[in-house]
Amino acid sequence: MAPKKQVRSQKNAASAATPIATSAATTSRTATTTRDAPTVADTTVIVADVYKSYINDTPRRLKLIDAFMLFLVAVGVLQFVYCVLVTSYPFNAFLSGFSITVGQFVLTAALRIQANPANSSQFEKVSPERAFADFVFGSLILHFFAYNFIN
Amino acid sequence: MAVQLLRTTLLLAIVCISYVSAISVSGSRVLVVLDPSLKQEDYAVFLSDLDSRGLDLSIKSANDPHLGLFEFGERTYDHVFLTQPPTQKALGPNLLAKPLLDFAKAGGNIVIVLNSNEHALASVREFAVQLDVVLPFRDTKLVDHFMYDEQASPLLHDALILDPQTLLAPHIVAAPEDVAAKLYYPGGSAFALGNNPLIVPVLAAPETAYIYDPAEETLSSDSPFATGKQAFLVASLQTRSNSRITFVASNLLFSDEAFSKPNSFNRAFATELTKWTFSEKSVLKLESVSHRLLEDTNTTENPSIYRVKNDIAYEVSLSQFEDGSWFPYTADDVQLEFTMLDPYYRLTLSPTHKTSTAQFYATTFTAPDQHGMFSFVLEYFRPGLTFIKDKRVVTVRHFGHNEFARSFAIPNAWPYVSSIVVVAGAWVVFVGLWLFTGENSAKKTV
Repeated sequence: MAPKKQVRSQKNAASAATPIATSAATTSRTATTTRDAPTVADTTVIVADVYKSYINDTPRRLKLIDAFMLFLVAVGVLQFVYCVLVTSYPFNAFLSGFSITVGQFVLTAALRIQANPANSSQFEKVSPERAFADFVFGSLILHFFAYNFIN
Repeated sequence: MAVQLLRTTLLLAIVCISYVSAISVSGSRVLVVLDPSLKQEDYAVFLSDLDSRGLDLSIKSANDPHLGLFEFGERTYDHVFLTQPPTQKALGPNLLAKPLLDFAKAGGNIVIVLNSNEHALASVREFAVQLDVVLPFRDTKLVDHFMYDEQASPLLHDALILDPQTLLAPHIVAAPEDVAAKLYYPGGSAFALGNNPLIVPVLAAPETAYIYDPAEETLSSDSPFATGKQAFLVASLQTRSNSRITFVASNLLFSDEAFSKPNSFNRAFATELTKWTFSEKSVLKLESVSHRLLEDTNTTENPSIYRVKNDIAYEVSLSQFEDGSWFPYTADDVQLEFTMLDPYYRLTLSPTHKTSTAQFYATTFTAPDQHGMFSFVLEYFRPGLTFIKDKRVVTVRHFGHNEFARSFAIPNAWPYVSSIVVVAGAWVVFVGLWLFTGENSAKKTV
């Protein structure tokens, strides 16, 4: 049920967006001299729109992936700050801890590209299940190296 | 059986005798080269002093046909006391500079006493030059118009009275405790010293003294051979192989006449000077050297390999020979160097415990963070004391791959370790969520 709803809303959004865009284009074409730079209100509207469309239109799995990637970035930045401000002394430990976040981020990003329904035309031979299996395999190897390298 | 017993007792007797007669570490055979023109009676006290110390004197003339320093390549004497005959032109083929140098190289000790009139013969002059001791010209005199002996030389001023407190080498002859003691110098010349670092001056002339040539019949001199403290009356030298050579500017310093003057320090001076030169005192010996890992007392001593940053304990013991036996030698300036080309450490060893014959010194240090071939070097070179040099080469290796501290043991690394755990945990949660929420995704409908 839900996917259908989503698709429908997506379609609605698309059909709703086109007239606005065309009208905006026509207005800008007709009144270029009167239009000023975008105001703060415009920016908040745009951000809110983007957020809304992300919440509404993104598949749940991709949202999950995005949350995980955000978490990885946070952990990586924290480690980097700790390394710069406090100590990099067991440097192998820093490298290991930092690179597991980076590596996991890259693997997850690859999974996101392959699992994104919008890209399915480019990955005809790679099924989403195969992509996930690759991801798990790569991640396990990455974790194995990280454990070894941190000593 | 009886023969066996006899042989054993004989052997024991020989061992006992050799032990008792060990007055000097080099031996007790002394060759005294004394020309008949120098009357033995004039030096009776000095010679009897030598004899009573247990030295085995053979008094010979320089032109004795049986005189030889070597026989079949072995030293025939342990020490040579060489005076200069005033009546001869040369000392003969056995006492040339070369045999004398060979004698010193072979571990023999030499006292060269110059004659108060003729000073030195060519062979001795050559020998002295090889050691950087420059002997004076013939017939020159050391004079001092301020510190002369008024009774002995009221006109010439060439007999001096010196203050033994000005003696320069305490390990050779220490200054007497009695400040009234006098050192009589009944006439003779003095010599100059070159830059040889092995030379230890023992007695210098007073500041107001100078060397002049009486043949010129004048007491002033425009360019004297040596003046003041640049002129030396007694100087000693210890070779790198620890044989000892002493030059004395006048034979009269050891005469009975000088010994018998009031408050004379000459007799004690002669005794101490010959004791030092004949290796009867100020002889040091390295009794033991050991190094090991500090934390582990059970490890074998003197291992050939250490690791960087190991804590190492080093211990030596030193003995000093004095009056026929070994005693502990205590000092606060014994140093150890841990070197690989350059010293990485130079540590002063601190005295720890002592036995009846040796003083122990010890120190501990951490091996430097540098692998390679290192040496424990102990160099103790002090003027007047036996030179001690000991070098032990060891390997210092780097850490083995399993000898570094684990990250889990380093608190600094805990944020990194925990981040790996967190990432792995989050990954497991992610995989679970992916699998269980997968059916709700939109992928099939696109």
